[in-house]
Amino acid sequence: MNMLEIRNLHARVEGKDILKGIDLTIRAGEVHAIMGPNGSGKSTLSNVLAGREDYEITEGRVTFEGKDLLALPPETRACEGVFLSFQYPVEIPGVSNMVFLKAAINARRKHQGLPEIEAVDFLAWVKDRVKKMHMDIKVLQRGVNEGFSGGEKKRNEILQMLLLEPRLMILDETDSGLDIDALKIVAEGINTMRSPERATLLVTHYQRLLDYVKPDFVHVLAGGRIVKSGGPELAQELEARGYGWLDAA
Amino acid sequence: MSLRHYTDAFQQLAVQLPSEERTAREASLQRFTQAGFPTRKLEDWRYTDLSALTDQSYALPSPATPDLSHLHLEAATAQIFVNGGDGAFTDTGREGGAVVALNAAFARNGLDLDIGPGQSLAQPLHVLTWTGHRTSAMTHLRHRIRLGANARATVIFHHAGEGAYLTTQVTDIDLGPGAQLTLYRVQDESAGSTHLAQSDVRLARDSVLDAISIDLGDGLARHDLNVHLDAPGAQAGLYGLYAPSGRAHVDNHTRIHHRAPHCGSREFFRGVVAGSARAVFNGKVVVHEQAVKTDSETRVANLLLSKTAEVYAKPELEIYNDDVKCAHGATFGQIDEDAVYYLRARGLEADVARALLTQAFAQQVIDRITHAPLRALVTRRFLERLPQGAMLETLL
Amino acid sequence: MSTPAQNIQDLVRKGEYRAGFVTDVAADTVPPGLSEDTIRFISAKKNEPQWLLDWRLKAFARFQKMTEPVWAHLHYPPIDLQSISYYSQPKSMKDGPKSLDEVDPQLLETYKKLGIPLKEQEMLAGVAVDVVFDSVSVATTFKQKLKDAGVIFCPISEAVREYPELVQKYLGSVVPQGDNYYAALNSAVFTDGSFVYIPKGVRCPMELSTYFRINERNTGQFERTLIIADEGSHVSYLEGCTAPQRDENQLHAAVVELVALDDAQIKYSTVQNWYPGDENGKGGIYNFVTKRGDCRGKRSKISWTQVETGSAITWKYPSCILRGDDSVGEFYSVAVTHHRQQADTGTKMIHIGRNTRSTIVSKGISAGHGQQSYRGLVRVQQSAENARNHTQCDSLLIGDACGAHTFPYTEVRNPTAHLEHEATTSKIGEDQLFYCLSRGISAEDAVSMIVNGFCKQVFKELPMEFAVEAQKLLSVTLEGAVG
Ligand SMILES: Nc1ncnc2c1ncn2[C@@H]1O[C@H](COP(=O)(O)OP(=O)(O)OP(=O)(O)O)[C@@H](O)[C@H]1O
Ligand SMILES: [Mg+2]
Repeated sequence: MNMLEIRNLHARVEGKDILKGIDLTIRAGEVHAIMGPNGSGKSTLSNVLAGREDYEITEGRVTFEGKDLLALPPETRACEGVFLSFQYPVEIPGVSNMVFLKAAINARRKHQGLPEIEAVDFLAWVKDRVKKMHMDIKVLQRGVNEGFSGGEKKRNEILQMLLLEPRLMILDETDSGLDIDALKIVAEGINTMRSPERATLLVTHYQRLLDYVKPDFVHVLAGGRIVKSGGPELAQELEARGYGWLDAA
Repeated sequence: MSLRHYTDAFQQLAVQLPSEERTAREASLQRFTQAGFPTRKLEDWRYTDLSALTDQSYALPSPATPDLSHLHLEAATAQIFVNGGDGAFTDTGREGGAVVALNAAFARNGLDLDIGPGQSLAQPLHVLTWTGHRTSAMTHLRHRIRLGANARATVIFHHAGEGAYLTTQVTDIDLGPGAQLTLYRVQDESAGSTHLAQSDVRLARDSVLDAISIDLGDGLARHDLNVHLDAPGAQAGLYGLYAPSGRAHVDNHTRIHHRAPHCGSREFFRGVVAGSARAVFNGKVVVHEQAVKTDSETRVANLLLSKTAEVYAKPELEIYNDDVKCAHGATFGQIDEDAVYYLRARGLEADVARALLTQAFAQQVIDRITHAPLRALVTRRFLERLPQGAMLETLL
Repeated sequence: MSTPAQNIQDLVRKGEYRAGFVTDVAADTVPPGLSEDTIRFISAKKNEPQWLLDWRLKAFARFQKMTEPVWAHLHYPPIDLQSISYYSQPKSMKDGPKSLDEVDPQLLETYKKLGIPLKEQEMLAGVAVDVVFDSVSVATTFKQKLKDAGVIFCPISEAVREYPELVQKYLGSVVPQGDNYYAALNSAVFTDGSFVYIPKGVRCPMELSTYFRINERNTGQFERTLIIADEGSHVSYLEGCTAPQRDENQLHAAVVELVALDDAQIKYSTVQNWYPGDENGKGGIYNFVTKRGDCRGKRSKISWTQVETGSAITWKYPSCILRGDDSVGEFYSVAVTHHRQQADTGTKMIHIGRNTRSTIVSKGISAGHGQQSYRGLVRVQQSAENARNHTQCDSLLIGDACGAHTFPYTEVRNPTAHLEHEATTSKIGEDQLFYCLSRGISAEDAVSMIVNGFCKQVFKELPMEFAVEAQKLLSVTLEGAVG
């Protein structure tokens, strides 16, 4: 069964049309990369899938595992297994990472009809994943993303992903602003999550992430539409030639 | 205008008093009746109107023995004043406005703490005042704290009650050189109450005051906190959280007088205003001519949770001296919707997300409370009044 | 050796008020005193219609019931309103000049000294100037050019005759007669001022400007300005003020009303340089002014910019009522108090419409024994969904005898409001000064640079020509203080 089906999706923000007819199908187990020039609508698409309310859907439909995704509030989407790694993660001073993670995990468990997680299990589990992401355990006491560097924020997004175990992972430029070591850690994090039951939508500008996380499909988003789709070789071509040649084609 | 009920009550009280004291108290009463309750015409009372009290009738309270176990605080020595307590009447008047004069006419002795030089209190003192009466009653208390040189103490004033009443609390605090006082004030009065308080703190050389004020009450509450940095090196930190909801009205007036060189003051207040509540914050810093090298900062931030909530804020600076560093800031707003979205994208329901963010906002003041049982009590009381707060209690 | 602090003090020289000369013209001045008769006299002198006389008398009745406000952070002896003359007119003006050529050459010379050579300005396209000398309007340049654009720019007394329906409709509609003590006084005795009407969709082709000058001894000046920007129009208006150096205090109580309809924009700039008194506080103008703009229309915008360097006492709060949805109010202010000057100034932003925005930038400089207060009010009414305000309010202190005070009121009755207020007070940094000195910059220049840097945010809001003027004025004013 198709995990995600996007049909003729149109979206606008503040009276401006951004997405102008997106069609995309993602099956479980697949990795799709979306590339495209700045301002082409990649984050808009990611946010529309996660349920941001600033965007107005003017046409089209999206189903996630057969359900009408657009009808669900963002928290239900999250609990159903949709995860967005934000391009610009929000800083939330005063809410500690620990409290935040526990709240998110328990919300998901409640949705699944499971009891709240035991404090001891939770701690052990979180600590393990923090280590995997090569993060300092002290960040758990700090406010969510509060005072984090750009790279730390991205790692924190992946940490949350490891803990929440979503089925559809939308990663909006999670590779931007990372040095090469951090990039490897993040890529490793993504790869540990790859499985036949899960799918990934990678938004990126750079081939270098795709060296670590091999996509099955590459799409070019420009002017609010997918203007070209292909295999991993398309990403290499884009890296070499930029987006200009697509207009001519 | 009629303050008849107050003069009547005074007559009842007066018969119990020795004549000398009666005369002194009569003078206070007279000052009170001449001034009357402050009205909004006075700049300092612009947003808090007490004129409704004028025709109110409050009885002198009688003793009671309520069960106050839910207000018990671990790791603290309790001193409890039920219905004004049974302390002596030894006050013989004090300078001040109408509220202080009213207090001086009626007040019984409350806390009287005197700590000698170099001494310190083994554990915090929990001063609980509780008012509750079959009919509307009024209680008036006078508190005094004196710390000798290098003495240290932590005092927790905790005000609660039941039903309709008027209570006034006037507190005088003197800190000797190098003394350190941590002063908590938890105002948790009932919905029908009027709580009028004034505290004056004088700081000698290098003494330190940390005052943390938490307003959770449901009635009308006003606290005037006047801090006098009288000698070089004195430091004052004033922190506050006010969280009125329902029809509560809370007014915090702080005044910090810098009168000596090299003194510092920090002021950090946060408000969470819900329902049809009103919050007033007036933080004034006066830097007098001789107070060079003053370093002062005031920050107040407000979160409005409902359409009918109101906030009035005025962080004032009055500076008569050029060698100073003073700043103040005020913000007003609602919960950051980007943060709400972020939390929802991680699976939290919208109202839980809002509650969590509200709690985090308040926590930055609550975290100033170093006495763990008190911090727990305040957190619990704060969460109780937050929609979805119970939900958070398990998380925190 | 002197410390840097002393250095700053050493720079204190006696500043000279450059506009402090008296023009020797024969004047027609009524004897001092305030009564209904005075008002009838003014009204008759100006050939006013009955409705305006009635309006004045009504205001006077209101005024008599009012008391002088005392809440401001100002100290001055009581003002004796009976000792002031309420009307003064240069004799040669009796028949009124028909064109600039008929204007008394001595008056023109006066304005030249003030830096406003009318004749030259007429050549240089750009600024249309109305000049109010004591109580009457002396000349309005560029009438023709403005007329072609449909813009009305004339003395208000002329507008009363020529455009009575406009005046009657808008006069007192922003600042009601009984608004405050000084506004009521002004409503009763105002003598002249400017009237501007910009018709629908018109972008005023040039900056409009008025210069006010008090010349006669013992006279008060009570001008009244009314600016109406009809739908979609734009106008930029500048006023400048000076007065001769005299030992006694003179009263100036003006009222300015601005009305912006849908999509209209008004930019109102002031360079106020009334005589501030001498360094001992003798003489100087008492400046009690009510200025208010009404953003009546949707998406309208009113922007106040003021550079206040003069007056012994300043009491002034140019305000915006943000009534129209999406309307915008701005207030940019530099105020300097030196010697014994006192200023209590600021603004009010009243948010009523949805999505209304306001910005406040106030820069106060106190030197000598100057006392300065910022007093501001930001009010968000319950109806004002999504209101935004940002306030920045900084004080710079020069010398240890001055004072700087901040009284910002904020009243919020809508949870969607987002407001920020920031205020700082500091002295000119010794390290900043030292840094400049060590780079070979003279102390005077360094201070002037620092002060100008401090005020930059406001100066950049002024029309170009006036920004330069304001900068000069600032250094002249502070000449007594810092060099
Ligand atoms: N909340 C918003 N308000 C107004 N415009 C918006 C908003 N969000 C996005 N836009 C506009 O929509 C367009 C698409 O933005 P989007 O963030 O989706 O681009 P992107 O492809 O992710 O670009 P980048 O590569 O820079 O991340 C841009 O023109 C952007 O300015
Ligand atoms: Mg993007």
